[in-house]
Amino acid sequence: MKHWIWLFAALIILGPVRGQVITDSLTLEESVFADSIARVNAAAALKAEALTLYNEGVSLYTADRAPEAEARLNAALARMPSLTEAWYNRAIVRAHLKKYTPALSDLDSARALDPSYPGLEDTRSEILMEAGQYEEAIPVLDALASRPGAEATVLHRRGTAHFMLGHIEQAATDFHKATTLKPSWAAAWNDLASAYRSMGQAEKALGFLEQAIKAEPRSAYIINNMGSTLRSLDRKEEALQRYASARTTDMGYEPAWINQISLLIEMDRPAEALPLVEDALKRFPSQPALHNQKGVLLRKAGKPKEAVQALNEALRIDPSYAVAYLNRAIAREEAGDGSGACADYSKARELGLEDARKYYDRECQ
Amino acid sequence: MPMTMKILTRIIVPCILLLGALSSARAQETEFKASQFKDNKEAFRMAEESFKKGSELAGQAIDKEGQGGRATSLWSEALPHLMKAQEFNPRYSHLNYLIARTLEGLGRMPEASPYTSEAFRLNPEVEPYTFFLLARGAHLRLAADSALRLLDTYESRARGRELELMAGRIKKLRMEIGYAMDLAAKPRERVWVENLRPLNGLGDQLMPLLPADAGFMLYNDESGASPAIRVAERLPDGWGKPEEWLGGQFKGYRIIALSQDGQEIFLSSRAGGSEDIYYSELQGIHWTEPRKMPEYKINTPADESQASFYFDRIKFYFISDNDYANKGGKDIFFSGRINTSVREEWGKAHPMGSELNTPYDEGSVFMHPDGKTVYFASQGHNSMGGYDVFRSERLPGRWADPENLGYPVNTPYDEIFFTISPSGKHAYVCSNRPGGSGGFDIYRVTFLGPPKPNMVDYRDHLLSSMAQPMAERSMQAAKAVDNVHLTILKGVVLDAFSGKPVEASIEITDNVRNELIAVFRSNSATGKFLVSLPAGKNYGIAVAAPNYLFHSENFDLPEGAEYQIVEKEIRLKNACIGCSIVLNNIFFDVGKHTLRPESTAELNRLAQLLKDILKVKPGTRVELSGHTDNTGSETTNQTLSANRAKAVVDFLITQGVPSGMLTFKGYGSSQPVASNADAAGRQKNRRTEFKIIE
Repeated sequence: MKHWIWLFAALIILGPVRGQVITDSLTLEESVFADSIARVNAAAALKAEALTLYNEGVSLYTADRAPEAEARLNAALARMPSLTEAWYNRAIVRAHLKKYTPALSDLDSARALDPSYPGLEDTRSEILMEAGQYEEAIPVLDALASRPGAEATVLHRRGTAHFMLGHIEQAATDFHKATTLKPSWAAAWNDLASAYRSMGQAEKALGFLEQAIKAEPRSAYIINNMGSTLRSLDRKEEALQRYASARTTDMGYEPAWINQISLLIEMDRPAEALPLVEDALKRFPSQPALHNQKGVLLRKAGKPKEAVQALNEALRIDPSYAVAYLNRAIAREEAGDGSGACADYSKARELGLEDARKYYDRECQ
Repeated sequence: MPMTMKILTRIIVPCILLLGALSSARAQETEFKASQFKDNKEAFRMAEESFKKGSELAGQAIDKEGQGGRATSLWSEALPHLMKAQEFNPRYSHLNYLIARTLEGLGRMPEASPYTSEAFRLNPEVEPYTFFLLARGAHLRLAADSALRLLDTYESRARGRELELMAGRIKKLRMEIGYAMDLAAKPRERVWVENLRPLNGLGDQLMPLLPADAGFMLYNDESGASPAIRVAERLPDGWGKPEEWLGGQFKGYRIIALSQDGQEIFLSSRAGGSEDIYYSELQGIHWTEPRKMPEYKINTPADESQASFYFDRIKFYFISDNDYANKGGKDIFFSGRINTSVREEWGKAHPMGSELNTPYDEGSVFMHPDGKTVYFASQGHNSMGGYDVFRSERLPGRWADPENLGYPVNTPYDEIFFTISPSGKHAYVCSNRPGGSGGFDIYRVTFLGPPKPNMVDYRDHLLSSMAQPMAERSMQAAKAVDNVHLTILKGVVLDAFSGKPVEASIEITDNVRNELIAVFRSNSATGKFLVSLPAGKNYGIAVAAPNYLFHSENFDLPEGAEYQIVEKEIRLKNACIGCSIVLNNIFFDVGKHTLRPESTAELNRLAQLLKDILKVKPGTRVELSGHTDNTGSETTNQTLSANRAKAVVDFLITQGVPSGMLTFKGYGSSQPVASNADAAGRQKNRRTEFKIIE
């Protein structure tokens, strides 16, 4: 009761100063706590606004409007920096926009607010992987893998990081663990096969690819990998069949087209390769590798000038395509354009092709 | 269609048409009779005189050739008379025939063909020999069946003595037709022959000559009233505009050979009646006055026409028409400097062996800078007709059987004066084949070599998680072109302190055999030099000039080393106190101080240098020092380097260098000149040095 009396006395004394916040409509206690209430109300309004923005951000991201989503989340976090979910979600949006460093920084902020926020380290490892920061990803993944009941996905991801760093044996170990934990996971079998293929054990890789195809019979990239593994074993006819099968499984899967045509060229079967490359170019007119293949086929057909045109197109699409420079040099040479050939050998040499350096030294010095 | 009808269609009908055409054409013949030219008696009289004179000379030429002689000058003399008569009366079959025959005699068969056809058109019975000329014309067009039929006709019409005299030529033509059929049926793949239009004009462009780096081309332009030597600069995209070389300094001469470094030439001139060889060299920026090569040793009363320097610049090869070879016709000869220190003391010429020379004419010779390949033009061997270009390689004690360079480098026309770049990629040849600018043109031949493998991509998504495809490229190994295993060493010799050019001698030594291979010199005005080093040897290269310490280089070019151009700037130091040189051609057994035999040439050079210095500056003292890299213990390195320096000193003493002049010291690895972090640096650090200390 004493407190109330003192407060009342103070209000009488300070009344004129606080006049602007006291209105007649307020109850006595409301008048006494006006500032605090205003602050609470303002905070509540801000939180509501932040949450609205946050929700809009989520919706926009779902609608594949990531830049707008990022702006909403920026606004939400400006109003409510303690909103852990906003930090986390903005990290995801930014990673999607390939802004990896700010994305990782957002995850740091989320972790500072809630160190046990679920999925935080898992997402960090994903973003690090996506950013190509495999060395940084490995300790994160090690920590995740050491947790009891670590999931196959974590082991698989660590295997991928090791693979990308050239630690193929460690990659194979992780992929193997992933297939043990989840035997029906085609991707893990495929990656295990790739690790063994990279270690020069193509026969073993074939076995793993068969497991992958058994788990997922209609996956074009796995069938394509089967083709390339067979090619590495010099089983070229079987490889051609697999590439064709990958194409028919998914007509939009470019590598299968490219590989089948390249192998036909390698096997000196231009009559089969040429219609295929024409068909592929109708589907993928901006694929420089196909224009390059067309150039190679025309050159083999004794049409160096037409070959040069096809290779011009490959280089128009990708001006840093070293292989196309080399092939154009060869075609130009056969078309009697020695100086043009030397310019192309020189360019291919600058782009790091060892064969081009040899030819340049021999033909152009 | 029944067979009989086919025969009628293919044979009888054309014959009827031909006979019809001939009978009507015959009426156009206008003989050289006064009655035919009543309105123009004076002009007729002059033309008749020309006709008679030309006929007489051509008749003498035919007789001389019938006796096995060469009648070039008679044919040359006859031609203007006959042409003058032809100008007045072009419709006389016998005159056309004589012109055709004269042009054939002069080796200008492509020009003879129209006159042969005209003679035959005016009078198919003009001379049986017309059928031989027509057969030659058909052969030039690679119409073998027609050529053989015409030869048969000639043989059936020619009589007695003529047929007897022609037997050899008929046989040769039949062989050429056969070779041409075989070679044209299998053209050389990936070979381009293109006319160098900007350089060619009317008349003959002959003898393209290029230095080893192909920076320019010299050739003889015989299109104008007076022949000229022209020079065209090599540009990145072709050839520059040709200009008269040196403003016409060598007017009246043909250029017939150029040394690889472009510092010596052979010229030819007919000033003495027959064609003779002359020599000139570049002294500073001036070419010396041409000096005639010695009579009877090299020049003879016959023609000496074209030449080629050997890479060592001691020997040279040339074409001569003298009878020494006893092979008949023009043959390839060689001669050379007897004494390398006396530049113009030439030895007696000898003919090349019968592997290359034939009873027919050899028209040009080119020695490749690799020192073991010869390209030459010959009318013999398995020529397709006229001169063809052949290639042969030096084998132990002999030359390999020549190989015809094949079609399209060669044709039934003449291909002559072949020269090829050190890389083997481009060659230049003169030919009078159709499609040129008239007479002989210069053509560029490009040897593309075996087809280069193309590259294609393979793309796999190796990992399931890969967002972007990963390129997996597989490469195929390249097959070697005809690799020319040769290194071109070019550079400049400068004074180390002033940077001015120095005229220095450059000695090339085979270190293994301890043999001096060649001596060159750098240009006194520019200091430039250019040396070609065939692969398969360990070369010591010593650059020396009066009052300078010599500079040595070592080039180990194992058999099969790729073609390369190495550029060097060599700075010679004066023989001053404190001056030092690295002796790059002194070799020891690994980890030992035993001098390897390959060091002998360098040590002898050093001994000579020390003796020369003593003559000029008695009391001079020098230090020989040994240096190692930092591999192994320093104590071992110290001992090894000292022992190696001592080994050099001991050798020099055996060569007559006073011991009091010499001191030695081992520095181990304490004075590196390069980083010891890599093999190249360590190799530089392992060295023997020589320094003037007093």
